[in-house]
Amino acid sequence: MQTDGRSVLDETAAVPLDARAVEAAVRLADPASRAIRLNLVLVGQSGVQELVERVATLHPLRAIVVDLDGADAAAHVSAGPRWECIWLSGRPSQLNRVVSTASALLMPGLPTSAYWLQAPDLESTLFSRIVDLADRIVVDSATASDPLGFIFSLDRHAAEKQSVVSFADLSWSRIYGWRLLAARLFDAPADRANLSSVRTLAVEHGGSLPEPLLLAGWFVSRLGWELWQPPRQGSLSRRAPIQLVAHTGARNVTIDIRPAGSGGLLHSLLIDADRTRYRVARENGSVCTMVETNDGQRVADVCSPDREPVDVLVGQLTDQGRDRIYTEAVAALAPLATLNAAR
Amino acid sequence: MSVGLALDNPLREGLQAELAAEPCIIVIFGATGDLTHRKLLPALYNLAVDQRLPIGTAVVGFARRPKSDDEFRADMLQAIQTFTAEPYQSSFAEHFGQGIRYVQSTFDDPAGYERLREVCQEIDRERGTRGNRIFDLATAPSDFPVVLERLGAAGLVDRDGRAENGWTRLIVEKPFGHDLTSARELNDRVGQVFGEDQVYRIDHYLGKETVQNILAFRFANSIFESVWNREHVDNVQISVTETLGVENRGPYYEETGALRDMVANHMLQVLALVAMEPPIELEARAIRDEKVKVLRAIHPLTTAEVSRRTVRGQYGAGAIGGIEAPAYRDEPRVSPDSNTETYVALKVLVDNWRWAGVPFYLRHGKRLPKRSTEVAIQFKKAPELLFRQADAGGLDANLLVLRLQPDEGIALRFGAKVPGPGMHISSVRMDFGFGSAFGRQAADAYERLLLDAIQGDPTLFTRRDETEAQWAFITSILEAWQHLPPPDFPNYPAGTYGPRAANDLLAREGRSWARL
Repeated sequence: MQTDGRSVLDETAAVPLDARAVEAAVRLADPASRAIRLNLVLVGQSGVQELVERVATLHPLRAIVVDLDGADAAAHVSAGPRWECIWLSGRPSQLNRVVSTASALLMPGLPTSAYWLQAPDLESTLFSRIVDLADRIVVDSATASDPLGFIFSLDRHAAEKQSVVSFADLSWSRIYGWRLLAARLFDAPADRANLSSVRTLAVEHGGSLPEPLLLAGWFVSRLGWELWQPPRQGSLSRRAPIQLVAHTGARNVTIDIRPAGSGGLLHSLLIDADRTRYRVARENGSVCTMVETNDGQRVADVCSPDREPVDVLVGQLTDQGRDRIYTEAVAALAPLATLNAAR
Repeated sequence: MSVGLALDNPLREGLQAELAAEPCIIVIFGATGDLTHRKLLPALYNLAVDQRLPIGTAVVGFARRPKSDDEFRADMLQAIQTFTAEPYQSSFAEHFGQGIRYVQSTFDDPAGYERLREVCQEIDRERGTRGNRIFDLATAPSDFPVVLERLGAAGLVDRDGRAENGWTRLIVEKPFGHDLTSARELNDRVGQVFGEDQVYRIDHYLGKETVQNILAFRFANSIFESVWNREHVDNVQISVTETLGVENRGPYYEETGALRDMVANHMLQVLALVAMEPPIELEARAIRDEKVKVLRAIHPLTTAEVSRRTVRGQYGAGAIGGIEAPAYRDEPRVSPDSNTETYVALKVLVDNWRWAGVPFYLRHGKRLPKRSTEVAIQFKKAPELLFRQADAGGLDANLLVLRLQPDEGIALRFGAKVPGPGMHISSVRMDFGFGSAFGRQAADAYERLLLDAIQGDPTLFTRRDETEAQWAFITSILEAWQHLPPPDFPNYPAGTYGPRAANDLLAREGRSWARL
């Protein structure tokens, strides 16, 4: 049990794993009515309390924690301004009891999102049961042992279930700001023309592969390039450079993905066209752009503050629908599917 | 209400639905003034923090006070730190500040406008702003004519909006004239330099989320439109009440008064949104066309009508929230025998098919017991025949209240049976609060308005014909007041809900003001 999880479990008396008993405990913990807007099912233990309180600043919620690392079936209830937290714990063999209790405790008529604090086993019974409860599934491929395989598998699940549930990968959400800044660099007609003369794309990362791969996939899919399976690339490692080649129809583009330090975050995106170099990079807590022409003249240099990880999650909880741009970015990476991706 | 414009940039697809705006230079005339410090620069900073400000956007202050670029930049960063709602990040702010420049000049000096041109061209080269300009008249209205004339004479405005020269827009802060004649004159002066589609007249109420929500509420919910008319509505009340006095704005308020300050613009805009027909699309022209129809259906009043349908008030000494408040005439820089109204109530009739016969009661005042802006739609009572014998105690009319500030939300009053024997009906209230539901602090109105001006979306700005229609109605009242006996001021103590005559305005028609 993690420290914050222990604070919830230690400070509240256990309640039998029975939906009516839990509801009664919730009313005792917080008898005033609130405008709860969201059911959030959390699978995991670490960071739950902080996460719930942060989500509550935007979405008053009922959080239901599904914890199958418990000693025995029990429930703990706590509440605060704009949030209720129901912690359902049990042994793995008690999955059915825990999940059925969670199902009964979902507030009717409200959207239900589910978030795994660690990447789930997408083929597990638990994953399947939670997907059946939820309208929105949020996961993070950066926490998967095989992130690229996870991404492909997730996309397959999303396609199968798209009529009833939507999926979100936080690795894709985290690069939204990078995509926006990169896209803006090419708004002007002269810059847009440079897209056809791109020679290299270089992405530096802090040791996590999904973000640079998805960013590359996004570029490839948006610009209609075709990624070739690199003949010399035996596996994808977060610790070693990766070199890919994309064909634009007129020329080849080299895509370099390189580790640069630690921290797991993207460090920089460099786009070299014939006459101009475009750069998006993380600097001092901001993400900044720079455009430099071949004669060394800087044309733009503006920054936006980086978003905190929990804010990225909060922003994903109530979106609905399938993100076609994400799906196409993943599809663009298909030639890499046969490679082993070591985390 | 922004409509996305497709940019021919393949990387843009799927990104946040927004008008893809080009970077521009925002030239603020009167940049050392209060509005720039408290509203404009903090709003631009907040937009930059949210990654909504186009990369490269720059600000040039144009004002009389001698300052260097660095001094003005430091002032603006200090203002941002003081007034921004976003966390102030010094490293990010430093980057933001690199786009701030200053031109010191009087408003009538041609050399100042040449210097402005040079600075803008430098910024175009350095930051890629491509000739795009927004000129923001954040200065006293008396300066508007000379600034407009000099901008035109200096060739800084491309009225035809040729793409290779970039686009040019004008933001005009309120007040837009002080009566119909002055508003028309100002519009004519503006029109000599700018095309109407380049002009953005700010009414900051329209930038408020809650005001925009009036349209969302009306047209996103099918249950309300069928009862939103004279068949079901008894009256509509729009109230803007303030606890504050005139503070240190005595000289301005002496020339303005409550009717001009609040009713002539904000309240009539809110009325238009409440009363308008559904637009054919959520696009600027369609929405503004419908608002203008409402404003034109509010006919100017005769002197006799003004006498019957308007009430003026001025606060005397009193107490608000337990704290003593002086009389208006005792406020700093206010004439001791001033006849400026600090309170106004009026009955407005919208002469169209939907609203014929339904009174719209407007009231606004300073030094009232609480701060509130709300729209109350009082419906016609249900027939009581079912409940007469049951000693129901009389039925209250249903009341739908749109609270615009503070405590933004929507409330519905309806009748429900009191548990127990008999059929006793009591009014109950169903309440929805935006703050508790959405949690997020609404963006300042100026963030929305500045972004819309940058993106070229005029929906939330008033059009020439809107302002003139508003002034036509207001001017008829102002002129009639000149011919009516002077009011006996002060006629309401600070901390009360205005003069008795405001209650009589409704009471003689069997109505009363909704409790705030």
